[in-house]
Amino acid sequence: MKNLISQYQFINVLVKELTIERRRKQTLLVVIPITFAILLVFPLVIEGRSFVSKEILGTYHIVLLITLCLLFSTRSSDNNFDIKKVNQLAGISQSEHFLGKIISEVIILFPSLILFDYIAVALTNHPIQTSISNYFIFTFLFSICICSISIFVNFISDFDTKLLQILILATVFIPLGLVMTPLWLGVSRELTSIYMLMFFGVTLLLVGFSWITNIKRF
Amino acid sequence: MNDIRINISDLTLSYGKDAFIKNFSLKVNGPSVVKIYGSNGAGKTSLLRYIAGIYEGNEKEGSIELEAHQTIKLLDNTPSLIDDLYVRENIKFFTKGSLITKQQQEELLVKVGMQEFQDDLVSTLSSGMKRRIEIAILLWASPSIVCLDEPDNFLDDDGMQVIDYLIKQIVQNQGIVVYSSLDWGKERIGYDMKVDLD
Repeated sequence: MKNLISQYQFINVLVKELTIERRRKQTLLVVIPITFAILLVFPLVIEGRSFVSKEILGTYHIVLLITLCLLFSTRSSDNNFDIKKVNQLAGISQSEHFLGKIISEVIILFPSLILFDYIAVALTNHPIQTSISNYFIFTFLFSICICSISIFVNFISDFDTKLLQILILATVFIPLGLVMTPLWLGVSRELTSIYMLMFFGVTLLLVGFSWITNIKRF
Repeated sequence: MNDIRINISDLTLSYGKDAFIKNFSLKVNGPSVVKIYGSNGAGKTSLLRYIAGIYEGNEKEGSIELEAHQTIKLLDNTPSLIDDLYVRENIKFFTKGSLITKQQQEELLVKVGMQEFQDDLVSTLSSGMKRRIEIAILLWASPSIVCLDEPDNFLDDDGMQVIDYLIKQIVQNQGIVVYSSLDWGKERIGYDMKVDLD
């Protein structure tokens, strides 16, 4: 393991990021409880009762998904210069840093999304209308997309205010949420395959774009 | 290791339009200690960051030549350590992921007088203590070129001895130490070459 870490420095970054998250517990103690609170309040505001009708289920899911992802993406801000400084002292290349960072973010976000969906299903009594394997693949691809965008936006918007960051992120997350929501509402088998293929392409594109931008800028 | 050198020629550094370093040249051949002196805003930190490869200014002209195998480390004027990790975790992270044994880690911390704090969070430490841990990391890395940005900041007399030890180690290993200082007259750290940026 020691040799592996020294050979592949992204594992070093991965271990560091997961240790920080375990210590701060921002996702577990801040992001998920806030989303859960919105999950409870949203139907009361929209429908005036604690029940989500089938007509607004799509909107409900998109809003919550975006809220969760926005809170997750803006939970901590990375300062570009600090990253550079740390990587310089540790002898880590930007490519290794990006790889370690994105894997750690996906490891944190993926179970959070599953937990969120589980709570949402329990509260709305509307099960997810797709097979369990499809659900896991889609959620995994979705979390990779979110993390790529999050790292990219954190990288290009290195300033104090979070407002612009939230606006940029929300604009990109909405179309991604629109791809995820049909899973809840249920689409045909053929459409699911097309969606998956499309989603896979989008994921590759976003990861590639974010990776190249990160390395070029440093 | 004998071909270790820094060769900077006609360097101009600026943030925006106003250049604070104009046509600066520096040639260092072989193991030596270089002191860069300058008043506030003279460009000491930027120059060291430029040598270390993390300068973020808008414009730069001129060139820097370093041998390909040379490793450069920078001790910046603000700590680079990760606040949410313990001292021992920081040491592991910065020494290329756990290749360091527990005994080596302890020996390293003894050298910088921080052995009692290895299970403390970095965020709870003082600036001087953080600086000592960074020095421990540099001692382990033993780079060819070390840039120290105002290394005497935050350090007491014991801490200054640690800096002296680091500089001796680097020069002994045929390396180059470039450090910046605000003091022209007071010499807390020895040097072979002095450069005035004012």
